[in-house]
Amino acid sequence: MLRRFALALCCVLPLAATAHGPSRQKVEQEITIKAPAAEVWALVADFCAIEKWHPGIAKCEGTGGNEVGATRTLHVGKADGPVIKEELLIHDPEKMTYKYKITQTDVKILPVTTYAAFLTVVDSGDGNSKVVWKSAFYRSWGKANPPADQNDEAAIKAVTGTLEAGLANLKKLAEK
Amino acid sequence: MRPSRPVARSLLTAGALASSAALNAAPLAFVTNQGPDNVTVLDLESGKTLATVAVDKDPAGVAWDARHRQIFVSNPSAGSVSVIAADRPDQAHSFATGESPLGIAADPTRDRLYVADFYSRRVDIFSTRDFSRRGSFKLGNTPSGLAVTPDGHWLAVANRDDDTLALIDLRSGQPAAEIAVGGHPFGVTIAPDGKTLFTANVTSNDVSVVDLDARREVRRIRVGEAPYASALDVKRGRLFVTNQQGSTVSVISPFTGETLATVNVGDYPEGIEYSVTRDRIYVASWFDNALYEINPESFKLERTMACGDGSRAFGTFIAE
Repeated sequence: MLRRFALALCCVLPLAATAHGPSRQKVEQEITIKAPAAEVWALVADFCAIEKWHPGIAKCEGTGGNEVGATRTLHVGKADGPVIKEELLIHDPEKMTYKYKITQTDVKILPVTTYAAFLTVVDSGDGNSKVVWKSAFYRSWGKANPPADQNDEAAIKAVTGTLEAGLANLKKLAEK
Repeated sequence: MRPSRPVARSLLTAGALASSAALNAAPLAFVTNQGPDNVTVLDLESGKTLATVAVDKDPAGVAWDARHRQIFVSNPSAGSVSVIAADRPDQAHSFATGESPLGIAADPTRDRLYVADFYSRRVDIFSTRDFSRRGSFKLGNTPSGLAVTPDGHWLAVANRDDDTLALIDLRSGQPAAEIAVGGHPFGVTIAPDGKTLFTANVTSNDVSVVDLDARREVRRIRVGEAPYASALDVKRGRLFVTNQQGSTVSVISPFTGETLATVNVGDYPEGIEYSVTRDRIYVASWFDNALYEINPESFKLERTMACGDGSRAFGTFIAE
């Protein structure tokens, strides 16, 4: 019985993580910051620094630093809060950008699947900068007729809120 | 956030339409725009937008029906397919399908349209003359991309979540084979001789080369991250593959397995097709809302044509 359960788990989980509907969604947010790009990049460059600049992340546990394949486990709201796990796909300090994907989410707080995003700092040329956060994902509900808390609108709303809150706080920190 | 749906109106300029219809020479591209629920119609000679035509919610798939010179567009969130006549690209009308139409292909030898219903393990059959429903084929899980051999004998369908390619005999209407391919096959492309088929495998980051006579996968070629669809440059025998997560197009020789180039394009490239008339590759970028033109000889990105938000163009989107 146990063995059968383990077998079912091994083969069902990867599918659940990647099976999704026909229409990918996107959310792109940006914010202008009155601080040089290099200073803003220094705040966000470390993959696990998100615990310092994103107000929704209470704690980050990282492995692998800023190498491709590095991971971060995010505790949302409080140190023992719901967990979101992410993996670093690209980290390019020269272009001041990194790309990551979500490998495990909690659908109650972020009802998405196959989520990947770029976080990029752009030099505006006048001592100011712009931070662009581009994300693409599918709603977590991989079948027809999603419940209201797992439809496209719910996924877009949750991601938009996450990006907006992070960028607003990053601006506050950087302009201090 | 997605923009709200615009007022349905034609942005067509009468002069542009008249010249395109009269000369009837320039190939047209019909690019589905998921955000504004419309289709950008581009003249591929001039690079100009001829029309922006409203369709239904979240348009994705496209199929060129050369027999009747019309374009079909699948609207997965509306449960409908829209029809646009190539000579009147300023207007569309739609008909109801299953609940989640995505992959779509017109039969080159019969008056039939095949529509994969993503959630229903089915391909629905419609008349390309009166758009009435003419039955359906049973498929595996999440049927996605599909294509018909040039002789009209075989319909090939990617069962994404089964990691297989289904072959249906269109002469008998019976399933003929289910062929194991890479992880989550999505786009399906058939060579002009009808003997070789390519699937882009999203989760295994490769392309399966399938021998349709032998009914088996003969080669697996590594490409970029999360490949989506492919286009065959029939002049040079090279395959161009969109890598959604790589923001690139891989150029490979499908017969030797060699990688010839990796071309940087916009983010989340999706639909891709080769135009024989133009001898160019066209690629839609879903995140950057554009159609790119790539020179298949130099592998240079030569032109960028703006489309609407969330351009997909999944299928045969070039009318020529």
